[in-house]
Amino acid sequence: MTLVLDAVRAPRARAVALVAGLAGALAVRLGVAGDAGVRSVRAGAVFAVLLLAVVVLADRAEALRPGPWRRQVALGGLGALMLCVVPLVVHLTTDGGALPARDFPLWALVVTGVAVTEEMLLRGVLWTALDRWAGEWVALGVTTVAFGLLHVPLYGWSVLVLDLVVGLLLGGVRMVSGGWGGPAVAHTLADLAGWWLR
Amino acid sequence: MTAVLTGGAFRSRRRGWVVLVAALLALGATVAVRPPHAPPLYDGIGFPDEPYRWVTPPPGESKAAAAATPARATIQVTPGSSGAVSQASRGFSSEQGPQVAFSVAEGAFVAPAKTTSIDLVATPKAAPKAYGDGGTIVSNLYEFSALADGKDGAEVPLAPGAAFIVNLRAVRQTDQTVVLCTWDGTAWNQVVTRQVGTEIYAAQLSTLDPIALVRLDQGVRATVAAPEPTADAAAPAGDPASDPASGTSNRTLLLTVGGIVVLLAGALLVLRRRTGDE
Repeated sequence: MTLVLDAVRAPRARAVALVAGLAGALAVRLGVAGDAGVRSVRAGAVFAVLLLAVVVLADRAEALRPGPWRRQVALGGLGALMLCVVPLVVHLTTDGGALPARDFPLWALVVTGVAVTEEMLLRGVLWTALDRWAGEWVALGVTTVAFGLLHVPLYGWSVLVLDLVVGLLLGGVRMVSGGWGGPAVAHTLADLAGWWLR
Repeated sequence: MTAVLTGGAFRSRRRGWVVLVAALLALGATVAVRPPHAPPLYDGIGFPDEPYRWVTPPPGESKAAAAATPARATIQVTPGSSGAVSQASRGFSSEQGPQVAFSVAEGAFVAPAKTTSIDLVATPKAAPKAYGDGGTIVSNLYEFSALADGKDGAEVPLAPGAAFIVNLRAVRQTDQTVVLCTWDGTAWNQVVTRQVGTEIYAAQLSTLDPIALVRLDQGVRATVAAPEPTADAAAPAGDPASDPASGTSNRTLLLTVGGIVVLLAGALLVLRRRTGDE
């Protein structure tokens, strides 16, 4: 019994539980989405709620502590600019049409929810648990790989390299900003910019 | 208020800047080699489809600001005993929610021996004629051309017995039957069609005749039999799964497994908190 409790108390147990929670939430998202796949707003909303529940269960204090807000906003904005430079170039070389404006508010709300809860989990509570357990580089590596793999069931293996790189960049923002607020700002702004830069 | 950084935090931030610069360079390199029509770069939720781009909108439909785009693929060929044999390839049009996509299996085309590649293009056109009684055309007409070595090359026919898969997006979702039809210059001919997305329909074509989607009127049934699912009839990559029955069981499985894993993770986290690990 003591061994079990010791194992449960360890930061690595929290990390494992968080990764399992992320994988489970992703499976539920895929199940809810069905044929609509990644375009299902309802599935995205369910995913965000599940992630939030896992994060709050894991570490409510960390979830409510995104870091010093000026630094998070400034460095998050810088991260968003870095993420948007490349899509801007792609956008200028392709002929995209306008998306229906009536769909934007709900889409933006759910996109923001998904981006923020992903960052609360990955670069927030999971990062902190991994940092305490094995150090910052392990935290960077695991959260980057988790971020890359998270997108594979939605888009296929072809996105893995790109999302690993994006995960690395968001991890870099986490390191320089000292909190999960910076990556959340960068991730959210880049996702929202995608409406115009796709 | 003065912020004081500990030595560890300062080193962490310095390492963070190094990671940021490295990630930015890697991002540029990754996108430079990214294939065309790859999935979107960053999105928490996929984008909704843009309004249908008609070449000539039918009555009641409006014309989008942007023009409909062709789907295009340059198919590599390898020397064979009876000519150059085409490799597998896929093509997608550029709309958000491609209006046309195709998937060509290896050996679908056999070109003259000195051919180095085949350009397969599906070009949007206006439908030449209404479907007539019993149905309404709900997509552009798409004309195919397969040319050896670029636009000035000779036309390359499909190999005998070969077929390729086409996906067309209809103008909107409907509960009525939608069939893909070929246009032979005088009449529309229904092709065995499967719905593979909310408004996406797939068919296997054995000719390069032009095609369009037709929504049949209420009570009108397709004149072609429903297909048996086969491995060859898979939809092009990026499109939804094609077998509705297995799709439903997959969803149930995912919901069950995912729900159980989330519950277990939550239980573990609650147990950890109650045992006082802080």
